[in-house]
Amino acid sequence: MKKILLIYFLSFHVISELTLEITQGTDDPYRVAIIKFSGADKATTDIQKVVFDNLIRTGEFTIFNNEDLLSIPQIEEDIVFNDFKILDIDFLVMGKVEDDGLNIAVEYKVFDISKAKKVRTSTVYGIPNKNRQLAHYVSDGIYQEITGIPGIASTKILYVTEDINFKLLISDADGNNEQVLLESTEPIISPSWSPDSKKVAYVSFETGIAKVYIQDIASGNRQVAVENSSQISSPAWSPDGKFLSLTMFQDGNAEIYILNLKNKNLTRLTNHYAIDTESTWSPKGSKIMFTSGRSGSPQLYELDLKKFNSRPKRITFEGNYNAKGSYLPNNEGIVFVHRADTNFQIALKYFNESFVRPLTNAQMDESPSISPNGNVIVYAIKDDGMGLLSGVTLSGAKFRLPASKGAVREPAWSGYFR
Amino acid sequence: MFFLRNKLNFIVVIFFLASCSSMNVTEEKVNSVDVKTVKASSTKSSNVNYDTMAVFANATVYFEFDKSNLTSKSIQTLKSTVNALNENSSIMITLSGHADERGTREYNLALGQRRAEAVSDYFVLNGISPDRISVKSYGEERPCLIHHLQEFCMRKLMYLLLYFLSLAVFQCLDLKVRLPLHEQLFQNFQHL
Repeated sequence: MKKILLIYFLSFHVISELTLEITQGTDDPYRVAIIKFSGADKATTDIQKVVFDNLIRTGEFTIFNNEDLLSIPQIEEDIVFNDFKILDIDFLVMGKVEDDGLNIAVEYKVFDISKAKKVRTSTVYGIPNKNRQLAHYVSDGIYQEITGIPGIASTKILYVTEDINFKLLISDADGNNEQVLLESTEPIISPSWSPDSKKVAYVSFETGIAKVYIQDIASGNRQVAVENSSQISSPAWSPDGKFLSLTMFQDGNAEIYILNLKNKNLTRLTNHYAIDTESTWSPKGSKIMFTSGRSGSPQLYELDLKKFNSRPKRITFEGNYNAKGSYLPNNEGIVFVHRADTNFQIALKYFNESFVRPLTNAQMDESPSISPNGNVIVYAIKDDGMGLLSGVTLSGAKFRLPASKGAVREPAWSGYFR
Repeated sequence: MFFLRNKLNFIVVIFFLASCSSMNVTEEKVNSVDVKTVKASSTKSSNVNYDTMAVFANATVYFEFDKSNLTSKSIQTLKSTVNALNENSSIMITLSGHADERGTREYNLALGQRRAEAVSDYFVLNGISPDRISVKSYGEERPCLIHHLQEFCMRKLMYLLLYFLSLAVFQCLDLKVRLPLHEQLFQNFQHL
């Protein structure tokens, strides 16, 4: 069987603001033949290149091109399955790009060589000037068909950069197509996606103190989440998009509240003289995890929202600093910032295990954010004092997204757009 | 019971066969993700009227990692500030809490706030009216030294940088004391 969780990142190059640098592949990658897509113009070559890069980048595939094959079928009926079987190829992909000058569509088919049959026929209709996005959809479909897990090529990442000004940026998961959401002379922290990936919440210091804003990505319309004279920070959307959990300082100390986005009602969740912050919702929205200093050092706690007045339950015991937790999408564990001795690492803990699995080993790793398919974690590192984004898979392999300009930090992975 | 079990097996087998022979057919359209850029104009400077204000006196109180309790040395620093505040009731004070880059950003923001609150509490206990004190936190977003220098360059104000290195850590809290321009009053801060 293929090791689905064992994703490594292979070499990949793009000409853009963020560039992915890679390490190694899995021991047992899927062997996939991709016949050169039919369709004559440059769009075809471009789309195929992006699909190829996306699949290679997951580290789960060894790709065979036309020149590596014994026979090159132009139509479905011409496939000689044995020619692929001899090369130990698991899957065959054929594609056709139809471009009428205005609109572009890609039809692709996936064949299972061992069963000698077609397992998928899909068509993706593009929109003008979004051929990259179209290619991301195609690669996600191929990825899902072969691995059984949704692909993340069509997802996006939010992050903050600082050079002369602070910027909140949005880019494709491969670092391409970078666009500015907010530019400010004052710090921006804690970006968070709405579950439908149409809005973002973040903390901006533009008024001199920390305030939470909600911004619509397409229109740029934004508003302060809570009108209040005190500091507010650490926004996190509930999975149904109806609530925002926040840290409010109006009581003179950081406490967690839930804001009903419809009627603006606030409900206080924590009541302790220690710091309570960095709230996050469980995948079903029935629990809130947060960082609290109530034991003397920052540790993660969980609050059951289904039980009235339930008490926070401590869930991390290993290490002297455990903070900024997030749930795996399948609710099988949590990812968080962990310090065992002096270094801050990104760590994973499965609920059915009693130990912490460190995923990174630098000194100052922070802000982990999990891809919607739960396979990859993007986080911020300090390299020579410079902020960069790095990625790690659940198996512990790494990649990097260095920026060409300014310090990059605070990544937040979107949900699915498809 | 037997009947039920047989039926269940049957359903499982059918389901298994069905999943084996499935062929996925999908059609989808690419979603457009439009992005509008917003520029935030800082309203920060309007909080302080620089025409009527003349002197920024600045004191720094240091804290231990992940701590917000005042050390005996910080209390020495604060005692002199309390004296100065008592001698002139027109002095307003801004307490801005900071933390170094170790630890998570949101936790450090809350930690900075606690540090500022700890100093505020000390002032209030020593008879300073809470109305004269404003408290805020930058967490690790504006490391205090850089922040000072930036403001110094930007505002071209008379500036006193007084660092009380009570502990060899870079956890700190600024005390920004706003003073009317007055020679005598300025003297009060010379010994800080």
